Amino acid sequence: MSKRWFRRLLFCAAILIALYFLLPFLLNSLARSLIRRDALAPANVVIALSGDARCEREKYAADLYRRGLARKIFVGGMPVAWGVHTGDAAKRFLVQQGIPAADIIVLKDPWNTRLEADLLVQQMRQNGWRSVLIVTDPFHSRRAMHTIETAARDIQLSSQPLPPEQSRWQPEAWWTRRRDVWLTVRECLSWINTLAGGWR
Amino acid sequence: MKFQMSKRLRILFALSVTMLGLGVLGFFSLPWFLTSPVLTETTPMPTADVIVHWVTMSQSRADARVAALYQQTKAKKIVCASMPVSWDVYAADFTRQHLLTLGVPAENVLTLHLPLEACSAPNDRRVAQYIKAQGWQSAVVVIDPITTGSRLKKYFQQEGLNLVVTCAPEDRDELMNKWWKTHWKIQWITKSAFGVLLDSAYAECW
Repeated sequence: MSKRWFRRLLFCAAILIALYFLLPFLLNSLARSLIRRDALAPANVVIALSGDARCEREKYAADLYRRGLARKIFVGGMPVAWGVHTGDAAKRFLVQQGIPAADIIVLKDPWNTRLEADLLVQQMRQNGWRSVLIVTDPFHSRRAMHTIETAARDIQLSSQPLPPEQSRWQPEAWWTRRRDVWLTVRECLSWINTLAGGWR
Repeated sequence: MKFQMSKRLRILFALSVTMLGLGVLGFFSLPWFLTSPVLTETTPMPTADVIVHWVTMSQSRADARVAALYQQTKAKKIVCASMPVSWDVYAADFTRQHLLTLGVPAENVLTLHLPLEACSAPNDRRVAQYIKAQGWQSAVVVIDPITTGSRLKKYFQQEGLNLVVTCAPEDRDELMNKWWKTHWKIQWITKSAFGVLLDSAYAECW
């Protein structure tokens, strides 16, 4: 074997070994970069972004409300089968948690984060609210904030993703779990769509 | 000035264009790879002990189709199955209500609440075990148009049950109709394609 081929082989082997040790670190960093958590401070409203069938987002939003950090709670939802609207279901869930119905506002049919941002901003401006706490899953938090900040530069936003123990997604070694792979890859693809100014 | 490519570059260019072309063709062919054949009015309908209504697509028109199948096949029962869509809210309960308004007797429509799972296999197994536990021998399962990746056949065979898997023709037609132009359809199809790939890599989904 010539010296040139030997050097190429050695180079490839070195790259593979480096990747073997670096890849977990890079993949974990990628997952952690999806998370944005701001300092917690009181706001006019808290919104539990739609998309959590377990209602953990709504539960955490209720917790923030009960601690006096917000005066109203927004929930979103959409029709999913005959007679079922998940927004109404989320509202019922919050009422069962002891939140007064008058303090819960349902955003109807936000089919994606951008539409949800538009509906939220509309409501905020109609009611003269200036600050909002955004509750969602950690993997969704950075993109959600980017989307809502783009739609509402005049509103004070604070990202308050679920605490790690409440989230269905864990960033560490996410590639070893089927559910977390799907959530992470989907979020990365959604980021591409968002940055490309893509579909609603 | 003439532009000249070396032979190696020409081969690389040709390969790239071919790969791109195959990729685009593959992407636009996805619905045909992923969807199932359907039972239509002209297809001989097999008799079954039960029809399982397990459609998750929100734009579905399967309710009317399931009610019609029930009346045509004289199947004994319908079971509406679903995972929760919100806390303690199951689409299956509402689907059942709708079937009653379509004339299906209440005593012949049951519901099956399934837990949230990352992939379909665990619930496919639960449905097969439920059918067996009820003493039924055969089932027609109506699901979403995308059926590739379903493990129903595997688990029904394990339980010694006969199975026909189908979808509502209207749902399939709707999904296939200019799907590349509609956000929710692209999401649905690419999510399903990705899910099929992922399921093959994780033992919990076999």
